[in-house]
Amino acid sequence: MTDHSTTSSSAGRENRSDAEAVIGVRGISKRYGGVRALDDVSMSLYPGEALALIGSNGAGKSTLVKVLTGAVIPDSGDVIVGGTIHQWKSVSDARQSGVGFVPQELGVADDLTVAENVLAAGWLSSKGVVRIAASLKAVQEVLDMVGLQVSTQTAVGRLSPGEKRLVMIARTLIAKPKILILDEPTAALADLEADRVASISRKLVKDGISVIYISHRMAEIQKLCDRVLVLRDGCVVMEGPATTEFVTRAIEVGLVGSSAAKHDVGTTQPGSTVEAAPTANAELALRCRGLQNRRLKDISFEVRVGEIVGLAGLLGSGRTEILRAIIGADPLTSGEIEVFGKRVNFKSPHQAVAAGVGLIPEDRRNQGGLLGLSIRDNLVLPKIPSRRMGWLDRARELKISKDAVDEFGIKCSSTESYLSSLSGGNQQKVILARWVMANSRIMLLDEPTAGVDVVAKEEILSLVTDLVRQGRAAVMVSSEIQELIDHCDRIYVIRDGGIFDVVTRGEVTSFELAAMCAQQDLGATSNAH
Amino acid sequence: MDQFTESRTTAESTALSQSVETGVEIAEGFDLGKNAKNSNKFVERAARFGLIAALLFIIAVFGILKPTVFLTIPNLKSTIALAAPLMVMAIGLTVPLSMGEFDLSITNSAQLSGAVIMSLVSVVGLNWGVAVLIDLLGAILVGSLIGFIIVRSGVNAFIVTLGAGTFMAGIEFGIAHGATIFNGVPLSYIKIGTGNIFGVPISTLVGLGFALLIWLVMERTVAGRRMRAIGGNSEAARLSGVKVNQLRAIGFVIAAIAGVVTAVLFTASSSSYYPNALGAEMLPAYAACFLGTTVFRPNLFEVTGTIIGVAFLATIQDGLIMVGVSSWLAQVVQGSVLVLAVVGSKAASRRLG
Repeated sequence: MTDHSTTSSSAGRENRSDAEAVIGVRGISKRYGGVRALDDVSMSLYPGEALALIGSNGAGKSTLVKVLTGAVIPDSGDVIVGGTIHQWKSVSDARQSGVGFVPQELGVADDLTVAENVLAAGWLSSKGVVRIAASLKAVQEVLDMVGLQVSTQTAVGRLSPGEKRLVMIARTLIAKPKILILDEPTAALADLEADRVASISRKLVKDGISVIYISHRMAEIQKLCDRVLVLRDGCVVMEGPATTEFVTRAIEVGLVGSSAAKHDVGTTQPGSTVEAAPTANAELALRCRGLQNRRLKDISFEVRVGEIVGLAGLLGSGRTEILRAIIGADPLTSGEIEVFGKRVNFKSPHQAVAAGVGLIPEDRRNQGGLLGLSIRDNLVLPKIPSRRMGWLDRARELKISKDAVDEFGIKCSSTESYLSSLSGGNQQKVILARWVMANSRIMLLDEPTAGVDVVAKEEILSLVTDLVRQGRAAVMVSSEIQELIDHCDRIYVIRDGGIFDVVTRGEVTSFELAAMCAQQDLGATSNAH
Repeated sequence: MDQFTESRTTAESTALSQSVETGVEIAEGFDLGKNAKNSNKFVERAARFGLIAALLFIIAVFGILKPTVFLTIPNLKSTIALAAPLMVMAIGLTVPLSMGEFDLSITNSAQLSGAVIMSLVSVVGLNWGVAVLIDLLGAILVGSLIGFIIVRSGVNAFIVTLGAGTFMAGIEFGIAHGATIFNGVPLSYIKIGTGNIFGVPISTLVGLGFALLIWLVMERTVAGRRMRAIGGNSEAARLSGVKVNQLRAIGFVIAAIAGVVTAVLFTASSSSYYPNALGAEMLPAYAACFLGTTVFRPNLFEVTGTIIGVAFLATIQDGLIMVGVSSWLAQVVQGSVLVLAVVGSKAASRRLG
């Protein structure tokens, strides 16, 4: 690896000792089963500093955050707060040490008021009686800190997504943290709102709170952060000042993902790993024209048989929403979809499945797998083998399941084992196999390799490639740019719900593509600072 | 019971809990806890067969306490005949429960069915077969309506069926005016509740027949598999092409049909309709279903499990009466046994991960 520019580029900071840091970790390692999520990671956050944390899915970012917030106890290494080693046993221990965390998912109670949301952890009270006036005053203070000019009695459901994000930040601030960890706070926001949230984050740093800021938006990091730290495969691979040049490089390296480790970074030959793309006159499998809904703006693209089309974009850019809109899981307000030349209008996923379109959702635990049911149940779900009148054909069901287990190399003790007993990679193979069993010819893959180990990643991607070459078509969303560059014939860059650009195999390097994803509409960011 | 909490709106259940706390077990999405799998064979067995062992245990206890009356064929026959309405209701509930839905209107719908059938037979003078058929059509209609309202509005089935149950109780009172209906019930109808075929009570045969039918639907048809998938993870099922709402609605129709069968059994065995006949049966019916989730396949509502649950409750009830325990103590015992069994099984399955 060539990116250890640590010592030279940030020399000024490096002389600082751990004792100076408001929070830091030293030599942290954490394994999950056979997977090493963090490998001897050390980092420090200094007073009044904003540190950008960059890394793709599975890079170890969330594990590091969990260590810093007391949600995960590391296998080895120390957490140092204010110069002393802390051994937290829970999230509340960390909170007491002054660590505040704003998670990435939007978690507010829409039906409750701003005050009730901000005071979710508890109202001020004396002798068990709530002190309403004092509580509301405290709420007003944190609302002022985040620049949210709404009444404390407003129902949160009436706020915009960006304002809801600010409510979440205010909720964390009420505990008066010294350290604030913001996990992709602007990910699901449109550029203007994202800018507002980012500016507030900058203001909080000026107010004396040290911030760890997870984001992949280039302009934001440049404006907001003093330093950048890049994680990949559980290790710190880059660390340096937030100069334009360094941030650009850091985002490229961070977004490109772990599979880039195989390549000589920087000199990647795009398209070199797969044989030539299919010819342009192959049958049209999927065509979307002007798809539009709450989250999408004029999405048009097409996929031919034998092609894998990639959707690149940051978290919250609308990638997932495109796939969901295609199968009818989310309604469209306008637009046309054609499947194998036939105009379709899926009102529900059922119709999409019947037409041969299958979705592998991003959230395997909650949307993809039925963890409490058997592998067999999971495999046959879209098309359960039956005789007449809906009677099960149990013999065929069993045979199909066994064949799928063999064919897809699913490691399990039997087809009757619970899906939950499998590793993440094998669960994902089951879900992939499900659509092959159902004869789906169009596969929509949303982060198919999220949360699976490196070996399974390669297996899954080569399975997808094989399946597509056998006469199917695939649309793949991935946060790992290298994955898209390696496996897709064409890649659409998604930003803010729209298609920003399209590149074909070999046209750009993974770094260039990463940069395209991370750019923001800078017009909206003029009055920052 | 996880599927119930999961199916709630995420806004309420997860909004205020910081996601760090829930994320502990699945950091980065990698799976944990595989090492704890093998050492727990014993716990797993205990969880699976605990209820059956407990059933055998109480049979032994009552057998020792009252050897001359408890362990006899007549007692077995009367116990299973008496338990038939409870079994049908519990089996009916198992279907919506397998999809994570509660039907709290089932005792009311069974009582209303009883009032309708007996009025048609006794007051209008219809042939009982026709009366049952008319009531069945009505029940299917009402069940569909309840199901439709629930899936279309997205309102919790709990509250919709509670309201529907009260509505039905009103109609029931309007029909019977709180009186007992017993005139002119034909003997052939009463036979269903009191007769035997080859020494087996007909009501037991009806109950088992209904159980077999539902078992076939649940275990041997595509629809049953899909219902189980909905219970397992309704969003994953939906994205896999299962018509989740349609099947959820059908669950309420099946519960309504179970209400009709229950009505036939209880009116035939008492050769009359009387008010509030099943008022106390709601808890035992649900108890049987939940007890049933502790046997065979843990945490799944299934017909065979429910049957064991009914057998367990019926045996306790019968035994306690026979031993001469006063009715308040019988209730105390039944209530605690239910909670203990379900909590114990839950704890065991949690240890299994």
